[in-house]
Amino acid sequence: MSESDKIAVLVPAFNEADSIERVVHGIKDTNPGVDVIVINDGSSDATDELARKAGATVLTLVVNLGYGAALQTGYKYAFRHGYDYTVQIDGDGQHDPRFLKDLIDRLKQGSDVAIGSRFLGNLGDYDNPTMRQLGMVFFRSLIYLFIGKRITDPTSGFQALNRRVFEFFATSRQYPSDFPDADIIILLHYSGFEVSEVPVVMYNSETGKSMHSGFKPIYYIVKMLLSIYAVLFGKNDLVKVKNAT
Amino acid sequence: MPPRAKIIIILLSVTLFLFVLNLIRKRKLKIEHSILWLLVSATILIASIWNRLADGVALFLGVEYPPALFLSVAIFFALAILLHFSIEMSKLKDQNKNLTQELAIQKYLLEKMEKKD
Repeated sequence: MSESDKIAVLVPAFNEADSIERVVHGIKDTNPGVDVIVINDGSSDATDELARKAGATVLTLVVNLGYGAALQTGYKYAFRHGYDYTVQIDGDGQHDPRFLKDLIDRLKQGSDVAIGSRFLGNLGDYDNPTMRQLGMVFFRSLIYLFIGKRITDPTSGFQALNRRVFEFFATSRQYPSDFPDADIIILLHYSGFEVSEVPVVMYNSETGKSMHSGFKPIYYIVKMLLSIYAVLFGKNDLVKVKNAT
Repeated sequence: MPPRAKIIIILLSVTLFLFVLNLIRKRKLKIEHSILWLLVSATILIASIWNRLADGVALFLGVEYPPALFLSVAIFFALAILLHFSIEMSKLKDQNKNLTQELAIQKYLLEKMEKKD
């Protein structure tokens, strides 16, 4: 990373008072020079205060909008404030901020999106629940079918984007309010963006709650399929982007 | 239709029609949303006054029991209005999301400015 790069680290956080300070400090300690932007998604605990105390910029949503909408707030902020790259890290401490540099390096090598994969390269032993594994195999195959490329960790929330991509997300009506996932990877591919993966270490969520917990798997699969259908056959914002590039 | 039932239905549909008009007058219902409701009450009114119209249409469509046709059309209308609401709700949710995001960013910028002063 060179000094001149403006990097916004986006941390969507919903009731993460237990871990948010540690996460913000962890990012700042391992990556001096980056701006940490915590998007407090309508938390009822002290997430915003603690994040501010730890030295982060805090954007507070007055109501809980969901993970995707919180991230999109960060994209809007980063776009308007002239950032070159965004890196998103979960507020629960499961992503290791030491890998942030690897993600940014990948963007500099020409990728538009760098996804941190916990399955690539076997860096850590991440304990993966069976139900989740099933869903993951399903979405991996779908992605392979549509973009002809293996993405091992499509649900990873540890990602870096270049400016073209977060501008697209900031202005897109298609960016989902809940969980951006395989559908967004397919959307990116069809919009002409280069998506690639970088091996990272992830820990099991420190606060014990997974983002996908409580999700009815069948509802999730149906939702994802409809979303992919909308990407493939719907009125897409992507046409605009394709023409512009 | 027995005359008593006929009178009740006519009264009900006239009441609905006037009620919707009154909501528009009091600005409690947007014009865009009122049109479908006026159409529904007018249809019920016409069908209840002019029984043979419904019978004629049923006969034409090969429906043996005219009230069944009437019910089907009523259910269809109700579903159309519900779908219309779902569409409106999706739109509202989207606008609500954009407003909340914008508010978060502006609030931060305002706080920063106040701190500088």
